[in-house]
Amino acid sequence: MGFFNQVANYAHKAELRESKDEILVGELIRSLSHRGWRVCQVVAHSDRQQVAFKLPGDEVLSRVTIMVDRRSGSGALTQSLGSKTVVSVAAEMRNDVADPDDLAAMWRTDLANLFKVPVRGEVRVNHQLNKVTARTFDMVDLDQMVQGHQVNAAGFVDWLLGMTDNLREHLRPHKK
Amino acid sequence: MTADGNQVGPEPLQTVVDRVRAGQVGPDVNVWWPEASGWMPLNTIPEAMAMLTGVASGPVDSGAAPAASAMPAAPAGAADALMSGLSDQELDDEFMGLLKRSWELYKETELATSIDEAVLGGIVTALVDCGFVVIDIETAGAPIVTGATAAPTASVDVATAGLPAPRHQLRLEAPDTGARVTVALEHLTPDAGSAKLLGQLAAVVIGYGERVPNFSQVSQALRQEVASAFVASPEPGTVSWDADLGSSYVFAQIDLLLELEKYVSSDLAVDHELLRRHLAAVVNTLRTFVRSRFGS
Repeated sequence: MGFFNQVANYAHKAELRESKDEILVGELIRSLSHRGWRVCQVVAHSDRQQVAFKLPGDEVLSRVTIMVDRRSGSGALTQSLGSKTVVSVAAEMRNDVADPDDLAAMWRTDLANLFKVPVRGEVRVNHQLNKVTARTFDMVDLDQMVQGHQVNAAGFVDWLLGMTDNLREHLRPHKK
Repeated sequence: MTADGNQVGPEPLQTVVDRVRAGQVGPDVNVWWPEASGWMPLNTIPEAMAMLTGVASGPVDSGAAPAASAMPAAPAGAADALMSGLSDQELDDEFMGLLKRSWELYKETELATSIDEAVLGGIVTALVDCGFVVIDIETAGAPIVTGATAAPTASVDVATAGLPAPRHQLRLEAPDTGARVTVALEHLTPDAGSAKLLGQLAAVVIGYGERVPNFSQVSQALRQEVASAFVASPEPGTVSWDADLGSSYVFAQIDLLLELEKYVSSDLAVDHELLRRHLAAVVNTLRTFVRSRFGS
């Protein structure tokens, strides 16, 4: 094996190390698609991937967006995070008809959100006229789920589904 | 207006109507307003009668009907005139009909903007199902970056770095062999109008790459890549070459036009099996090209 091969192998391994979040997102898309969730939006660049799904047949939710943000900047904070990655889940519920009473709810939630400091795991509801969203975020350790090519995302997918269930219950009272 | 011989007002028409309802004056009380030709009984004015009876009247002749006994027309009167002749139920039904149709039209637009991303998700699902792992995703609109995790091919133009990517790009790797599949997808009909005219079309470049063991083979592919760069607007079926000098991959790529509606229904359900069959057919051909050219 010559110098060329050594360099190429190093570059290849570096690519895989840098691709852990993409590997996880790929597995996420596959797992959720097989559960009947339908991809409707993919926004991805080097260290942040966002995938939105439609949930046909769901009694409350119309759309769920999952964002995996590796935050691989060069700052001290992002370096200290290592393989820790921020995962956000936003669930959206739509009402076809806007109710004037929604205005009052909208202002209440807007006001409440104004004084909320982002805390991991906390659910924040945002009320628009005919759309209500609930979002939360947490941190996951990519190294625990992706090692080389090996992906163990089953636990991650279950955890995401649990988060979605939680958001659904926050939105259910607003469903008309 | 006169009551007990006294003239009162000016006051809004609604106030006069309220006086009639309260029995303070009769329905034939005389009223006058600036545009009127003279005093006339209230019960000869259609709009006043409609307000008195609580039943919407027919279209009101604005030249003949006053909005108030001695005041300019009030906005509520104009709104009532707008809705005259229609019951609350009819108005509600019309409103719901408009809203329902708006949702239908919105969903058509939504399909036009989402169908390419639904196919992207379908390609990921079909390939990950078979054991590939995703190692790069760049989507249209996201800035192009350079470096180890940049675009699927090594041929990122420095001049385009930082600009929005014009198409979705995927790169996947087979863990067992290291073989790679790349997909670049550009939605050609991203708005509802062009999609209705032409269908949901996408220009797709699918690539298959393998690692080759020595530098000379990669440099040979790079020379062919330069030649490929001169192929402007490749026609479907054109095979071009690409190489990644850093990790020693050579790629064969083919341009295709795909009808996205074949893979995605109007409610965004994806036919993963059809996608898998088509990807399998293309990858099989490209793998043959790569192996016959480079013997890897």
